[in-house]
Amino acid sequence: MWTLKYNDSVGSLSSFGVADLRRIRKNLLTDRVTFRVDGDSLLSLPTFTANAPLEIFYGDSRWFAGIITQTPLHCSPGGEEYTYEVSGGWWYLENLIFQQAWKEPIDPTASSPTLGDVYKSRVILGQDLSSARITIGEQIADVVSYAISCGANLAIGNIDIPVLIPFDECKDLSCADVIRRLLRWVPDTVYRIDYASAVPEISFLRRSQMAQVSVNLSTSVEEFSIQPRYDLQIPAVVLKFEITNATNGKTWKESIAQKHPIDCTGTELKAIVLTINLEGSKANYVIQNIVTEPIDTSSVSWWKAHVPSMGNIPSESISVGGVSRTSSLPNELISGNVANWMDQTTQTDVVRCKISYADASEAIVDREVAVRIIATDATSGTYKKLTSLATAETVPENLAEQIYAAVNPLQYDGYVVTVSSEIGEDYFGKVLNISGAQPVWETMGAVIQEVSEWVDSGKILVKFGPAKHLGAADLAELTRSGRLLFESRNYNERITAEATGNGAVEQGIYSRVDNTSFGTGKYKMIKFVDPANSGKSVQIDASDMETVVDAAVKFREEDVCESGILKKRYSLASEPYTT
Amino acid sequence: MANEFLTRVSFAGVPHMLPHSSDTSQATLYPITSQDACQLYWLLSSLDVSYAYSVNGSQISRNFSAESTMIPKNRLIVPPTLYTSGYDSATQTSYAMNLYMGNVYFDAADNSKIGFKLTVEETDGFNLINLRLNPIPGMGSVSRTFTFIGKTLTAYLNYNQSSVASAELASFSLTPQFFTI
Repeated sequence: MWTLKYNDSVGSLSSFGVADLRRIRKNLLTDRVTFRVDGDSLLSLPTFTANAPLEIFYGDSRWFAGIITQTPLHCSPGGEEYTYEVSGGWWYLENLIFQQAWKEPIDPTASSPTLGDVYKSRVILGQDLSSARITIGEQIADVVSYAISCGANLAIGNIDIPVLIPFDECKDLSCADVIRRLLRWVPDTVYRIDYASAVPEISFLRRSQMAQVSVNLSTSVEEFSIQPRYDLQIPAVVLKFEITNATNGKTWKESIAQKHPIDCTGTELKAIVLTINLEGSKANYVIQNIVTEPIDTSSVSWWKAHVPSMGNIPSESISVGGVSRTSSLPNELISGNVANWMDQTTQTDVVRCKISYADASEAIVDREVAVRIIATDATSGTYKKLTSLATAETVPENLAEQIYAAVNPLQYDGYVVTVSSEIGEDYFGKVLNISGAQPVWETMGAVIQEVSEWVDSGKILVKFGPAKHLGAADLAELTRSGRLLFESRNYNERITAEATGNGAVEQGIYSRVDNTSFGTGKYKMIKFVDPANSGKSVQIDASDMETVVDAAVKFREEDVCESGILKKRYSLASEPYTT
Repeated sequence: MANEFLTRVSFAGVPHMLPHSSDTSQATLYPITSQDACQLYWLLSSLDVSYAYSVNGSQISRNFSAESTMIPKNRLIVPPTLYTSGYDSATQTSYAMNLYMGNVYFDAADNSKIGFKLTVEETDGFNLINLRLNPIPGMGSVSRTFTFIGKTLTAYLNYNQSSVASAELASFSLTPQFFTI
């Protein structure tokens, strides 16, 4: 007993005037139901309006559920009629662009921005948001979940395809295109929607997972065709992964071969040889050379090296005393920068001492000299730190074996048409065996790719064979899955929100300083010499004041008469003293 | 006319070697500033004295000068003295003027007040009159003020009251002449 539910109305097909009911299901395409309604005319509106949900039941079990997508009107001398097309759950996947969450800073101006999820239609297949590699089955489930979250009337059924693939970066693909793209790696997969479930449940089944159904050629078979596809059998699958790594801008190639069977060479005729680019590692290091020297404040040469003005003073005349430091670190930074990442202690050190010396032009007693240096416990050498690292994409495990398993078994390509009083067996999503003829067909397990059912006549068309729409029909198409695959360049960026290789390089904060100062020097003697005549000189030598121990010669005011006018002036003189 | 010069001096504007005395009772040209003292000591080349007086109806007029040709540089060693004297036989009077700058006086409490001893005197042989820059106790006197280097001074014509019926100091002036530099 067939019934139809439209809006809130439930009735038999005839009560709605439905005739020529047909269901067409093709692998990875939208399930469709078509029918016409008796009594529709040019002047009437369609019985069923577009975008409305419609369900068809056979007995107590739901046979189809979908939304009305087309209502074309046909007019001919024989009459006028609307035909209707109702699309199943795959329709949602065809009409929804898949988007994935990417990490991006919520407030890019913050010093340590918090990352949030931003959905983008640039997607990386085979990767979850923790950067882990996920299987084809998990990726498909993620796509379907996304569609459900966007309103698709679907539930997730059996999706068990434990095959890892290279990260596949693409953009602006519908959910259906994404699934088709994924299933190129496992072309023996068929999707099926179980409309009997409360919510239509979508499953993806590989050939080995499908239930078997048998057709006996001696009963109800109206038409039959079959062709063994020896031409699609392959002797070997060799995957050649090419990885380009980079360190500080220098790149090198790395090649990894994966093959099945293990002893194949890739030179076999019809062997699949795919070159797959994987994103390599990118590492950036910051390297700093530094030179340090011990701080020897008791050494006259150390002071002469730091106080340029002492350069011409004979070393033997210099005495150093009263040394003090603000740091106790042993070495001085001579060249290079010391950054925090070097894990070395560094301090600004002000080194002071009192020097006394005498040369031909001056004699100094206890002049304070200060030098500001960078003291450190670092020693001379080259320091290196990794500032950014983008790890290489790993090679998917057992991918060659999985492709081999999907493509190597002998496939049978053909169709069978059965006619009975009622639509009975549900063939779609199963593998077909043929009995009543050659024994080999009884266990051939041909993948059913398409089923068309005419409810009125009880006719069923079952097409089986390789998935042509997945490119498994010939070797050239098989290799296309590799030709169209490029390495994902953003798989790290998706997780970290950082452009690969853009690690911040911390600059050194300490570098050598040359900064000396003299304190209040005690000149014992200063000699001025006329450079044009060395015989002319002025020598001020405190030791010349031999008579008095404590005598200070300084400017003092005195009266003078200048041409009869009383004035004052300053004269350099000591305090009066007696002898 | 003198050359430019520069020399260290005492607070009074005169050489340190000069006797400096705080007994200003001897200073008749007092108080003058140290600037004035400096100018007089180093640049004064002459003093022109002019006065006129009458006693018992007799008119007497006098004009004379005292000079010092010692150039400033030498005054560092030798203090200048401007002295002159004369005798008028017609009236039987003698007259003199003396500005001695070998001693310098100052106020111990305010050493900006400087002084020299300046003498201008005319007298007859009978001590009937005596013209000075100070009055003489016991004698009558008439006086006249005059200005010298900005300071107002007073000249006195002292006379014997028993012998002189009338006395008048008609004028008195003291005019300095300085070296020019």
